[in-house]
Amino acid sequence: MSATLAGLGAQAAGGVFPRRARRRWAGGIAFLLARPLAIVGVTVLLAWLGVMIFAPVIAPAPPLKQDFSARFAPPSRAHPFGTDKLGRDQLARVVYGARISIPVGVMVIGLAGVAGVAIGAAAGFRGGLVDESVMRVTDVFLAFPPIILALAIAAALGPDLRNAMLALVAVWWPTYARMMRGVTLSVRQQEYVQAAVAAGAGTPRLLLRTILPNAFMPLLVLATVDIGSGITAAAALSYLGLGVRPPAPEWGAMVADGAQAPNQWWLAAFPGLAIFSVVMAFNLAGDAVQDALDPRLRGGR
Amino acid sequence: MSERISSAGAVVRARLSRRQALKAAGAVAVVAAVGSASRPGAVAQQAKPLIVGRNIDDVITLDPGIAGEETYTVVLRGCYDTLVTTPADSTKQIVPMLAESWQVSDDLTTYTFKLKPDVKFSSGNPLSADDVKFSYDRLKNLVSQASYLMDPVKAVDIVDPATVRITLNNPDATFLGSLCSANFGVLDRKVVTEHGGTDQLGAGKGTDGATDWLTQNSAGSGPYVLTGYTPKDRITMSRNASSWRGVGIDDVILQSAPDSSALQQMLEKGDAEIAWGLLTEQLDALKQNPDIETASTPMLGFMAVGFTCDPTRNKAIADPKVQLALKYAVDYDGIRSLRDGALTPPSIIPVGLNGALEPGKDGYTHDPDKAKALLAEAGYANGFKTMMSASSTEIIGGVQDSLLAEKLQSDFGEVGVDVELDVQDEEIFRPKYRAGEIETVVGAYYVGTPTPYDLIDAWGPTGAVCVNRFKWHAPNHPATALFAEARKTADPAKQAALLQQAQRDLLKDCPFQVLIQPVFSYPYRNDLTGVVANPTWNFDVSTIKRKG
Repeated sequence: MSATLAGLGAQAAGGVFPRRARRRWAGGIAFLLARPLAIVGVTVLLAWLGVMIFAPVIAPAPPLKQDFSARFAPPSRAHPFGTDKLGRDQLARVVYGARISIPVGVMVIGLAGVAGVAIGAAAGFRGGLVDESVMRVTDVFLAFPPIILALAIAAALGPDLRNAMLALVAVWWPTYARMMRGVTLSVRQQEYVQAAVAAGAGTPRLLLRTILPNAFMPLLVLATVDIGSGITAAAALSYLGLGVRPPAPEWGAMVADGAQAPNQWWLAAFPGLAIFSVVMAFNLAGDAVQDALDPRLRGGR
Repeated sequence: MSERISSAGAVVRARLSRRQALKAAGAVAVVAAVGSASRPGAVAQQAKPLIVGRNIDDVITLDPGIAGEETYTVVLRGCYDTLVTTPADSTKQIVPMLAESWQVSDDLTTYTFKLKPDVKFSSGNPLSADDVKFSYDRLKNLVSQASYLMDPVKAVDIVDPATVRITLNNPDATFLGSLCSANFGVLDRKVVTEHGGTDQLGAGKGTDGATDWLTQNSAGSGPYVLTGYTPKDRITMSRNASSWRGVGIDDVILQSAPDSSALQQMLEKGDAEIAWGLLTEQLDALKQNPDIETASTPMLGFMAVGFTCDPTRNKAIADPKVQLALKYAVDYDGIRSLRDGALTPPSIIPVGLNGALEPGKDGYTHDPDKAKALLAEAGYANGFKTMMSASSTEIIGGVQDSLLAEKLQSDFGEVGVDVELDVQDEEIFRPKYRAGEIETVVGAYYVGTPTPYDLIDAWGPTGAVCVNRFKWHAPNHPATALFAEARKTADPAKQAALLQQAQRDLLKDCPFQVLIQPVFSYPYRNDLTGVVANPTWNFDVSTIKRKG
C-alpha cells in the first residue's frame, strides 16, 4: 500500500500534472482523484447526498411511524437497522436523519464562515481601534472551551435546533474572523492592492475583488476540514438534549436514545456509524482539498 | 401553657426509674441479638453499606411536612415512624406502628391512639403525644403540597403523654389509611424546634426554618437517621441506635445514577445492590441475569395526560370538547403493551384499591374518527397546536413519562393535533408543573397511603392537582358529593359502589385521562434478602439483609 502511495507521489512529482495549471479547478479535481482516500471520501459524500435526495425512496417506512407491536426489534429483513423504543424503523430514521444532521453541520460552518469573514475582513482592512476591539472579542470567545460555551448558549436559548445552530455559529465565527483578518492584513500590503487603491477602487470593490479571492482558498480548506467537526458538534448538542426536539430523527439525538438502551446495540450503532462515515468522508475530502490547493504539494514534492 | 410543660416534665421524671429498668432489659436483649449474629463474616458483611441505585433528581426536600414525588418514600420510611401502617406485602390491612392500639368513635370523627411506650427519637428524647401533635400541626401549617393530608382534621389533642386524640371535621372511614402516609411521620419536637421549626400558624410563610436542616438530617424514631443529602450525588442514612425497629444493614446509600442505563450497569457490576427506576426493557433484560432477582408489586397509581382549563394558556386545549376528543385519540392498548402486567384503569382509583372501576368496562377506547368528529364540532377540524410537557428523567413502574409523551404526540397527531414536546429535566419541569404553567402534560401519580382518598384529594374535582395544575375547580361536580358520601361510609361494599359512580361522573368531563397503571419492580443482587416491594413506600431498607 505504501509502495503504491509512494508510486503515486512519484508520478505526481514526475509531471503528470502541468506545473502551471491554467485550468486550476480541473487540475485540482484530477489531483484529488489520484488519491484513493480522497476518492473514498468523495464517494461516501456523494452516496450521502443521494441518500438525502432519495430518502423517501430508500426509507422502508416513514421515520415517525410508530409501531408498538415491534418495539426494540433487532435488525431483520423487515427492519434492517432494527426498531427503537417506539417501534420506529431505524433505517428510515437514519436515512431521514441525513436530511437534518448533514445540512445542520454544513450550515453551521457556512454561517460561521460568512460571519467570520465579514468581521475579519472589516477588522483587517480598517485596522486601528476596530481591529483591536474585534480581536479582543474573538479572544474572549476563543478563551472558552468551544463545546462548553456552545452548551451554555444553547441552554440559555432553550432546546431547539435553530438555537443549537446559533450557539455553534456563535462559538465558531472567531476562527474564521482571525484567519480572514490575517489574510487581509497581508494582502492589503501587496502592490496590486496598492495599485487598485491608486486606481480609485472603493472599499467594497477592494474587499470583494482583490482581497476575498486571495483568501478564498485557505478559507475553503479550513471549511471542508471543519464541516466534520460542525456535524459532530451539532450532534453532540442534540445528544445532550439541546438540539432537535423529539420526534425529529437527528443522529446525535438518536445516539443519545440508544445510549439509554445498552441491551439494544443497534439503536446507537447505526446513527453512530452514520456520523462517523460522514465526518470521516468530509475529513478525507478536506485533506485532499488542502493538498490540492497547497502549491508546495502540487508543485514539486 | 407553662403549667402543661411543667406537669409533663413531672410525668417524665416520675417515669424515669422505670424507663431505666427497661433500658437495661433492652440492652440485655441487644447483646443477645448481637451475639447470635456475630460470626466474623456476618459482621464484615453488615458493615458494608447497602447501595441503592436511584436517580435522586426528584428530591426537593426530605422534610416530612413537605416531601413529595418518589425518592423521599424510602428515606422517610427509614427515618420516621407513623402511628399506624400496613403490612409490607398488603395494602388492605392497618397494623400498629407507633400506636399500640386505637379507638374509633361510632360517628367516625374521633380517633384516639394509645402510643407504644418507651419509643425514643434518634436524639434520645422520648416520643410523646406532644411530638405527634407538633408534627401534625406543622404538616398542616406549613401549607405545603402535603398539607392536604391534614384537611380532614379539625384538631389534634394531647389526652395524656401517651394518648393522642384526633378529631375530624367530617366522618371519615378511610382516615387510618391516610395516617399511614410518610408525611405523617412523627418528628422530634425538641430537635426540630431547635433548628427553627414551628407548628404554629404561618409556619409555611417563612416562620418555620427547619426544612433545610431536615433535608440533610432527620429527627425521627425510625431505624435510620439521615446523615446527608448531596443533590445529584447521594443520600446517606445510618442506623439509629435508639430505634425500637431493627435494621439488617447499618448504613444505606442512595447513590444517584444519571440515567437508567447507567443504573442498570451499576446493578450488573455490583456497584449498586438494588436498582430503583429502571425501564421496562431493562427489567426484561435483567431477567436473563442469574445474579439478579426482582421484587415487584402492582403500582397503586397511574400515569395520566392532563390538560389546562386556562384558555389564556391554550384556548383549544381548555375547551372541554377538545379534551373529550383527545381522550378518544389515545391508543390505550398500545400504551398498556409498554409494560408486562400493566393495566388500564378507567379512572383515578387504581386496581387493587377499594372502589376501582373495572378495566375495559368503563372509560374510553381508541376511536380516532370520533375524536376527529368532536374536534370538528369544537371548531378545530384543521387541528391546532399544543405544547406537551413531561419530565425527561421520571420513570414510574418501568414506564418513562417522556416515552408516553412521544406516544401521545403520535396519537394526537393522527387526529390532526400538532403536539410540540417540551421534555425537560426535573428541575425545570417540576416547578412549571407545580405552578400550572402547562398546556398539556404527562405525569405519574401514586398513592402515599393505602386509601383511594390520597388520589381523590389530589385528582378529584376540588383536588390540588386539578385546581393548581389544570386550573379546574368544580365543587358542584356530581362526583364531589359522591366522593364525600363514600368517605363516611364504613361498609366497604357500599363505599365501593359510591366511589365507582363518582368516577363514572368524573370521567365525563375531568381535564385529564388516566393512561396506564404500571408495575413497580426493584431488581436486586441475589445476595440480599428481605427486599419486599410495597406500592406506597417502595421498599423498607431496614428489612433488607445480606445472606450468609
